[in-house]
Amino acid sequence: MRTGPGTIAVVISLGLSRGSYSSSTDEVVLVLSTICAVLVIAVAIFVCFAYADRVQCLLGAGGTDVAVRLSAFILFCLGIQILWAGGSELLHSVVHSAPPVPAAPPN
Amino acid sequence: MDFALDAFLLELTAIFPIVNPPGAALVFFGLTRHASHDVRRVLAWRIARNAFLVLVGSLTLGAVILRL
Repeated sequence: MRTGPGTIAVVISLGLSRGSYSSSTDEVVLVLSTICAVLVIAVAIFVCFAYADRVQCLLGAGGTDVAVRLSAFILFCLGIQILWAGGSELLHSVVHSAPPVPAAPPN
Repeated sequence: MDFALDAFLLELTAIFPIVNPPGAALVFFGLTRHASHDVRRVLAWRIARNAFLVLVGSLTLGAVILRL
């Protein structure tokens, strides 16, 4: 329910960054630490979902609204950052691959 | 060991806000308001297990599948 295309894209890019590490023990450590991170997130999903009702009682209607809006804002900021990073990369590659201005012929 | 901790924290902080468990939990609660706590617990376990499988699968196989 929560691991849509955005999450999958981020995770795939994380997995691709593995290729830059040379030694094989480093790579195994990286894979294991990634799996641990995903495990922690799965546990967090379970805990948050199973005890959502208690949190709701604790926060009340107004608090719930605030929490939802705050997390939406954080997600929005993340999206802007990803957009900016990709856009600046793109712009960089376009600017630097432009053909050089031809020099004026000597008279 | 430093390197493993670094990688672990990087991945955790990268994926956690996108998955957003507390925000999603509020949506989940809105959808299952009529159900009992036990039903919600079983559903939460299934969602967490499936999320774990999807993420680990896309992590390990994602790059391979995209290159096919």
